[in-house]
Order: sequence, then C-alpha cells, then structure tokens
Amino acid sequence: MGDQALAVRGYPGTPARGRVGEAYTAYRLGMWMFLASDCVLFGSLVGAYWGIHSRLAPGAGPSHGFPLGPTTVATYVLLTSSVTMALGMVSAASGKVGGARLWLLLTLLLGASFLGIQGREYAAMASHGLVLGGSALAGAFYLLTGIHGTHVLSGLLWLLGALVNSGRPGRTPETTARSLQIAGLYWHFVDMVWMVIFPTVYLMPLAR
Amino acid sequence: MASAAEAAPAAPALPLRRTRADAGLWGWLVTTDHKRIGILYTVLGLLGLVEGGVLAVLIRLQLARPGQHLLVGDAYNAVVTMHGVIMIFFAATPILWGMLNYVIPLMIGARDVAFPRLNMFTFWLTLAGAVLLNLSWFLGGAPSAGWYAYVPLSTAFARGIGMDAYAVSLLIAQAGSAMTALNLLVTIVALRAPGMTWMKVPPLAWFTLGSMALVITAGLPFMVGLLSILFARWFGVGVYTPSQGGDVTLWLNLFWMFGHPEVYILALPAMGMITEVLATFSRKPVFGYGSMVAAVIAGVVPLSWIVWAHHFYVAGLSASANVAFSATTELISIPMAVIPFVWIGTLWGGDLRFTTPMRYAVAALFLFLIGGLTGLVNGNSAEDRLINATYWIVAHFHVVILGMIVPGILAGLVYWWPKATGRLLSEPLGAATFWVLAVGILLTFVPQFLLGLDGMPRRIYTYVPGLGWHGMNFLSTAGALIMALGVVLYVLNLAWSLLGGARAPADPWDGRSLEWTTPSPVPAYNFARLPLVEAREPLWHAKLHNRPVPEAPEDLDPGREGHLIHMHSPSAMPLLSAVGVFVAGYGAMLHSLPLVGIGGAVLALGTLGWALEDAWGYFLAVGAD
Repeated sequence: MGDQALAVRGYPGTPARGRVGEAYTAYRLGMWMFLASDCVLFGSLVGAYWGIHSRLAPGAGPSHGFPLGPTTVATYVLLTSSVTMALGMVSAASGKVGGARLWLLLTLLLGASFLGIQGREYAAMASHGLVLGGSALAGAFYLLTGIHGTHVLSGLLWLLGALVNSGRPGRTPETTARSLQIAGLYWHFVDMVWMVIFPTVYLMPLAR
Repeated sequence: MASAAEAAPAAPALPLRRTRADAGLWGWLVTTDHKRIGILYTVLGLLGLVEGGVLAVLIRLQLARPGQHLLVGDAYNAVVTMHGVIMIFFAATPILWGMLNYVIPLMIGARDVAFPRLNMFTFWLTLAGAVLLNLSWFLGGAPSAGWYAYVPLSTAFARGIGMDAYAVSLLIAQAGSAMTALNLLVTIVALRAPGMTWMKVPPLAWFTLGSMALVITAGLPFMVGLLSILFARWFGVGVYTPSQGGDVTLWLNLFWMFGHPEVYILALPAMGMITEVLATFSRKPVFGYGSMVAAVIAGVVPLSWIVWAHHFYVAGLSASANVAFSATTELISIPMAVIPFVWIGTLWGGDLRFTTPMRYAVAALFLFLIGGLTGLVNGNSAEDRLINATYWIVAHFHVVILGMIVPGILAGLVYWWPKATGRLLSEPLGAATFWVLAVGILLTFVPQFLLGLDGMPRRIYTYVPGLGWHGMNFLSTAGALIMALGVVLYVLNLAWSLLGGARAPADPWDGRSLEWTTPSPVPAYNFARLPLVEAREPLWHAKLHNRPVPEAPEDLDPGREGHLIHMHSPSAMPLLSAVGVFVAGYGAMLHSLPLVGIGGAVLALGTLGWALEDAWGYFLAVGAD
C-alpha cells in the first residue's frame, strides 16, 4: 500500500459516530462472555458444595447452622435491588439521568444491606464454631457464599463508579444509559446466582 | 512502523490523560498494540520453552541409565513438576496467545483487538504468574506434587512454599488466560472486516474461537480448585480432607474438567495454524471447510467438556461411569479425525512447496496419527487399567503435544515471522532443523511407548538394572538430546534472521489471507483502509482476478475519518494493576494477609485509573488526501 504516517492529530473531544457503537457492541458482548464464564465458576462452586453436602450422614445436616430468617430477608433485599436497578436502566434509557442516579443510589444501599446482613450471619456462624477452616461443609459454604459476596462487592464498586461517571463532563444521557445497560447485566446476573445458592444452601436441607 | 509525531490534546481535559509514549522501553511497557503484545507473549513463551526444555533434558539424563544420582527424590519430583507446569502454562500457552494476538486481528481485517488495555493486562498477569512460580526455586523449593497436584500430596504432604506458588501463579495466569480468551472471542465476533461473513472467516479464526470458548468455560473449575488448595494450605479449608468431611476426588474432577479441555485449548490453535500453512503451500483452498468448522465447533468443543474422567478411571469410578466416559472419549476422536482428512484433501492434487512451515505441517499429519491412535487405546477404560501410570501414558501425551501442538507452533512461527519482523529465515537451516527435531521426537517417545508396554511406571526417579529397561531409556535420552539440538538450531535461525536476514516482502509465501496485504513488518494501524472481504480467501481471490483486495467504503470503517485512523492510546494502568496483582500474589504465597491487602489496594488504584482515564485515543494521518 505504501502509505506513510504523516502526522498525529490531537484528541478530538467527542468520539466519532461509528466508534461508540462499535465499542458498545464489544463491551456488551464481552459482558455476556464474562457471564458465561461466571456461570461455570458458580456451577463448580455449587457442585462442590452439593457434593460435600451429600456425603453427610442423614440428619447430620446444617439446618441449625445456617439460620433461615435473616438470610431470607437478605434474599428479598437483593431481589429488590434488581428491581431498582432495572428501573434505573429504564430511566437512563429514556434520558432521565437524574432519576437513574436516584435508582442507582437505592440499588447501592440495598446491595450494601445484603452484604451487611451476610456479614452479621458470618459472625454469628463463626461464634457457633462454623469457621472457614472447620468442617469441609463450612469451607465449601464460605467459598461459595464468599465468592458470591465478592461479586456483590465488585458490583457495588462498579455501580459507585457509574454513579460518579454519570456526572462527569463529556457524559451524555446516551453514554450513561449504555454503561448502565452493561453494569445492569452484571448486577442482575449476580442476583440470579443467589437465586440458585439460596435454595441449594438454605432450603434443600429442609426438604431432606 | 508509523512514526509518532507530537500529540496536542485539544479536547476538554478529562481527569487522567493517557500517556502517548510509544518509543523505548516505556513504550513497550505501556503499549496497547496487539502486535507488540503478541511479540511480548511469544518471547515470554520462548523463554519458558527453554527453561522447560532444560528441565526435560535433566529428567532424561537422570533416567538414561539405571541407578543414577543426578536428581533424587524430591529434587526429581520438583523438576518433573516444574517441567510440566512451565511447558503447559508458561511456554505453550504464551507462545500461542502471542501468535494469535499478532495474527488474528490481521487475518480478520481489524486494527486491534476489542479491548487493547485488557490485552496488555493479561500479558502482565501471565508474566507475574511465571515470575511467582519461578521465585519458588529460591524461596524454599519448587512445587513437587506433579502438574496435576493431586491432593493430599499437594496439601497436607507438601512442605515449603512450592504448592502455594503453584496455586497462586496458576490462579493469576488462568485469570489472564480467561481474559485473553474473552478478548479474542469478542474480537472475532465483533471486529471482522466488512464483508467477512461467518463462512468467510479464516480457518485459524474458527479454531481460535473454539479454543477460546473452552478457555472461558473449562478454566473456571480449575480456578475454584486452585483457590481451594491455597485455602486448604493457608486456612485449613477442608473440602479435600476426608477427616473434615471433604473429598479428595473433588480435586480430581475440578482439575481434569479443565485439564482435559486444556489439551484442545492448545491443540486447536495449533491445528488452525497447520491448516493455514497447508492451504498456502498447496496453493489450494482448504478442502472441506464446512465440515472442518462443524467438527471443531459442534464436535470437539462440546465433547471435550464431557471426557474428563478418563484421566482417573482407576480412582474408583463406578463401572457405568467408566463406560460412559470411555464412550465420550472414543466419540471425540471422530470430529478430531475430520481435521486430518481436511488436511489430506487440501494436499491432494495441490501444487506442493516444501518450505520449512510446510515440513512441520506435513509432519504433524503423521505424528498426530501416532498420538491420536494411541489415545484410542488408553481412552478405553478396560485397556487403561493395564497401562495406567506407565510410560505409555507419558509417551502418548507427549506425542500429542510434540506431534501436533509443537509442530503447529514451529510452523506458525516460521510462517508469520517475516510478517512480524520484516526479515526472512534461512530455508536450508530451517529444513535441517526440521529433520533434527523430527528424528529427536520419534527417538525420544517411540521407546517410551515400548517401555510403557513393558511395565515401566511413570513418576519414578530411577530403576534397578536387570529389568531390561536400560536400552530403551538410553535411546529416549539420546532422542531428547537430539531434540535439544534442534531447538538450539531453531533459535539460532531466529537470531540469525533478526541480525542479518534478508528483508521480507509483504507477501513472502504467496499467501491467501488478509495479513499478507499489509507491509512487513506491519505498521501500527495495520490497515490504512479496511479491506472489503469478497471471498473466503480474500487475497487469493484478488490474485485470481488480477487486482488488489478492494477497500471498504468509509461508512463501513468505524475507525477512519478521511485519511485519519483512530488509534488506541497506550496506558500505564494495566501495568499498575498487574503490579498490584503480583504483590498480592506474593503475599498469598507467603500466607501474608497484609501484603495481599497492599497488593489489592494497588490493584484497586490501577482499576480506578483505568476507569477514569480518557478512552478514545488519538488520530493518525495515513496517506495524503
């Protein structure tokens, strides 16, 4: 081709038309691929937990060790955070950045409450002797719920970043809506994973 | 390479402005150019290959004669373990990732990968993993429980820092691999040149798609398992410990759910490279392209998820499980066998040119036959009972690797070397190297098959005289030394080419795909004008019609405005983030929570900078209006 690079021009301020679309497609696709990968991660953790649980003698289950009450509340809190996240995404998509920020804030509070309740539960269980290095079941429980909790924490930091970013100069309602679409995919996924963990860990032993 | 003039940012200043450096050492440390990252990966992998190769020679020297004292007991175990871990994770993987990084965007007509900063981050993670693993040599002993790290050898019985280094370095390297895979997947799906519909995608990109789909899925059970090993050693987590109610077979499953697909993760890109080389040097389109795509995507990938238990038939699986896994194992040989037939059909009636890459490609066809057919034997659970844990198994998987993955890599390196360096390699030296390596590979591993059938167990550091094993062991060691000579010759050829090789034209091999339309070495922007793809082999199609590959109109080229090409800025954030991961990893190795905290804080800082720095890069003026 023989083309020569002649000069470099400066940063052009607003991104050109085509590139935003291309980058958005790539980010959204990348998030779906990440979630596919995360499915296998939680599949392995749930499988490991269930494998170890099924080795327990009948009746030796942890039903007294994993208190249902507070965690049921936490489950509803997390589910509600998905509703507020969805409402935030809808607000952003219809150009109401102020409304979206409010919903985002509410989502953050609900997510933080979930982690708070889980932290209290961890402390209560540890005082009953259910510690990370104790029984295999305790180890599997902390690995599974701990990695899920880490996902929730990462999601909170991400949403906090999105909240800050949405107010920065150069952001348009359109860019905010797009970044919330991708953050929302992640947040809903993390909530859905809890919808598998909760019955597996807390409800199934009751059915035995 | 394009010369970078001064950049004058005219825009509203965002909080963090990215660096513009692209020269000198700093330019390489902060680059986001897929070609430079590809070269970094490949160099790291070649260093790993040399280290793993030296360890292999040490193993063979110890076993050359009965009763040797070169490597005894745990020293032997450590060398065997490090040989396996380095060859898989820090030689084959980085070399392949590097070559794919370099070639895939060029082949599909893209200017970079989808996430250039993530690309650099994953390289730093791989490097951090390699450094942490090798630090264990100096911090009280390398891991010695085998690359498969069976519990409790890797947990309760492994003293020192070795297995912690294993778990931490592989967690980091696997996280990097998963992100590379995600990056290449999105690149192939979203950034193909205008006109490149799915049935026009180059074979290598299809094989890469299959391999990367396996990385982002199969890699995760392994990471869960590694984390559990680390936590078992650090906090006493009992998921693998029967006395705590745990299960040792949990690790077997988590490891081999990854460990078996890993074979295909490495083999598929290598097979893709062989397919490209065969088509070019047969001067024929790939035969049976559709069946090849179907075999890879609908056959090899899904089946490789469900064969893992054939690695531990003897661990006490039920008879019905053994039958089921035998059946899936034999079944996967059908789509795997389609690919050699694709190669034979491509060669058939072709105008063959036996260049160095072509020699390796044709050799792979023969050597893979040995690896594949012997796999049918040990894939059957009844036969596996007789040969399990003998040298038959060692010979089988080495012939698969050295008969398929390594020739694919060696062919691909020679094939794309002129594109990446702008220099040609020596053909006579290349041919000589090929024969030395071919003789070395066969002489090393054919005797090992016979030793295995004669009952020589693997994982032993010596044997007594009088068992009739010394002759074959001696031959095998001789073969390993010949192979080492071949590797030295291969590297000499590369060095000679860099120092004084002839300048390479844009299309030295009479190629068929888009990378050969770019100058050698490739400029930073790859394509001044994105190509418009009209056929499966765009360059070959254009040559047949006696004209250049057409250019895409500007509205189909999102990275272009007139003669300005959008470029991604370099970024220091991937490096900063990876420094955090390295410190945290070092802390985890030493079981030090404060160090993990410091590393985590640096990582958080890097990620924050990553999120806040300007994202849109700059424009490069290419050609005149």
